[in-house]
Amino acid sequence: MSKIGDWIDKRTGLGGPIRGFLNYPVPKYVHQNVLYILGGLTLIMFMLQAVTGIMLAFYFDPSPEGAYNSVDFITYQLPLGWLIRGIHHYGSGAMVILVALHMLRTYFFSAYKKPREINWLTGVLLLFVTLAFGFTGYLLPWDQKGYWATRVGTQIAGSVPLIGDTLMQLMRGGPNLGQATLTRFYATHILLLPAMIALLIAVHIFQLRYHGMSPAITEKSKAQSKSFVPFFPYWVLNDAIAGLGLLALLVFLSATQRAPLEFPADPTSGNFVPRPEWYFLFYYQALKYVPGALEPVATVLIPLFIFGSMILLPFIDKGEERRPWKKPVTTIAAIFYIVVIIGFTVLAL
Amino acid sequence: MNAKFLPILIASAIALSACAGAGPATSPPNTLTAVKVDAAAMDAAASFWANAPKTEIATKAADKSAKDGPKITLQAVYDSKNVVVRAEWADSTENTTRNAWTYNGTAFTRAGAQDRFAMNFPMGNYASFSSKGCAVACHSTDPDEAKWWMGSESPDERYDVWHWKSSETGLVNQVDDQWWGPKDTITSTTGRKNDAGTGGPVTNASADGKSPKFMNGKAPDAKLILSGEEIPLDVTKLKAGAVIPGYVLAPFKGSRGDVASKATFANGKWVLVFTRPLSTGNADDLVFTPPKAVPFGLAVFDNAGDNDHTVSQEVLTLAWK
Repeated sequence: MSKIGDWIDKRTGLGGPIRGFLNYPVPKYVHQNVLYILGGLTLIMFMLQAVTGIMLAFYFDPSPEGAYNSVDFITYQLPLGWLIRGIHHYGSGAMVILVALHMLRTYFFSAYKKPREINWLTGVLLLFVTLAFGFTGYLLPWDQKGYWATRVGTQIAGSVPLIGDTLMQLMRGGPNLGQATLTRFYATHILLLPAMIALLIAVHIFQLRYHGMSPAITEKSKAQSKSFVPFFPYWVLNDAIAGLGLLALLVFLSATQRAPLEFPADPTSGNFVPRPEWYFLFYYQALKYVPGALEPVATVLIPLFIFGSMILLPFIDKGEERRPWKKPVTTIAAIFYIVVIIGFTVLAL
Repeated sequence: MNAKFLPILIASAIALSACAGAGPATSPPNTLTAVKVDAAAMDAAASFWANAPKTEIATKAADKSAKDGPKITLQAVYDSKNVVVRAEWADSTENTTRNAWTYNGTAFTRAGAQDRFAMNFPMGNYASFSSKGCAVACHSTDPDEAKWWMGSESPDERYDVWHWKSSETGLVNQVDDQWWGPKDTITSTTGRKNDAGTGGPVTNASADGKSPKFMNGKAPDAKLILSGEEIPLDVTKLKAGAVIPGYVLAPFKGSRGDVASKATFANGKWVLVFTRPLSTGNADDLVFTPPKAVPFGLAVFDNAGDNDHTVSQEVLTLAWK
């Protein structure tokens, strides 16, 4: 093996960088804290999504006439198709949860502070791209739920002042949902977003390695901050075990509760009540409280405020303090957001 | 590896799994949930029905001015090979004598209809039926009966129909397994197509149409004349008031006989159970692939001809648990 490795190394020069990557010293306080596994687990989840997505693409027919039947075939006739689609379906929800938890860990540990602002910003963009994956993937089976949720979702985009119509037409590829919409959503889902997320992950990891792990915030972890373990095999083993556990959970969910497929989309259906995927329910619920006249403003302001405040966070909170219990404003603000999002989601269920 | 890590992961997995698997045996509205059992038998009194959720379906006449029909209580179970549906509905009279002959001592009169029950399932993923139900396949919404049609919009759109008829199929414990095709080949009288096969009811009428041709060779006034048991009519064996069946019945063979049934009428109520293999292997039948939910519609006929029936108003769903 080493001869083959040497042969490749001499021709590619990759041996050094790979060894550097694998031998990266991980502080013990990080290795021993389960919360630090969330980033790696998110990456594993993304890789699972990529693999299952590629498998699904072999059988998916991206046309309004064929999309539903192809997903139906994958789910109910293709050997193990239910499993691949189940992992992809539940994986999308798991990815949102993991990204959110990873960001919360970063937030409460103040890991967004100087000099890690770019890492935080790429994290915010990764959250946005993850949600975009969910939104574009929802339409692809071309079932009632996906069709009507997308119709409402694009209508919300259409209510944005000044550019709404253009935005909606851009998303739909015309005034109504049809082949152009499906093509655009599919292309975005399998080409544009994967390219974006791969790039952002690369920048995110590079930044992580460049700046190192964020400083410890407790006395116990500070005491361990001078002790290190190599990234391989210690951290890799953690991630591998967690990843296998996650995969087992996704397999179990897929087997016990098949990934849903509603009846095929009927654009003339007059009584279907559209509902978004669970991770957009809080927004869907929030818009219910906004008077009709103000809805266009709210559709812009709510996401703008949430993402805007996330982007500005490292430039506003510039103090040295990193312990959440010593930073009541940011801690209470985060708890308030969490309660509101969970509360609205529960109300919308 | 932190020792806390594995218990947290396992606990999360168990909690999430419990959420996914939990749930009482209830059905959402308009949903017939078939429950998996070890052996799905065609027995209306079987103990497994206690675990199968009941779904009540209201039926209404297509003619909005007509009286509403009965509520149908549906249950379903399935095993690895068969699905069994149990339907129960109130009916003030038992009608099982379609076109039966009544002898008054000198001549015959022919009259009578039958109680019926039908379910139809699209044999593909048809968006319009899935969202609108029978309104798009069995009836136009036109109040004029003459404009009603039964069938689909395209040759690629077919419906599997299970049509239980108390007189013509119920007496031989079967359901008429039929299908609907495109409406351009359909009229109200020829709309339904029979699945491939042989057998079925043959009208029991003399050449001049004034009397039955046959009678039951074993019991002259029996409600059923099975093919092979018929003998030529012999009025000397009949008393005044005798009723001779309007049809000679030969059990369906082949695809048309895929659905077996057992029905009882008692205390003003029909209880009908019927069963079919999940997959018959016949091209004119829908293949059930649990857990794939299937939309369906149903109709009930009270001593009625083709148009006088009441139907489910919204699309119904056969789900699998």
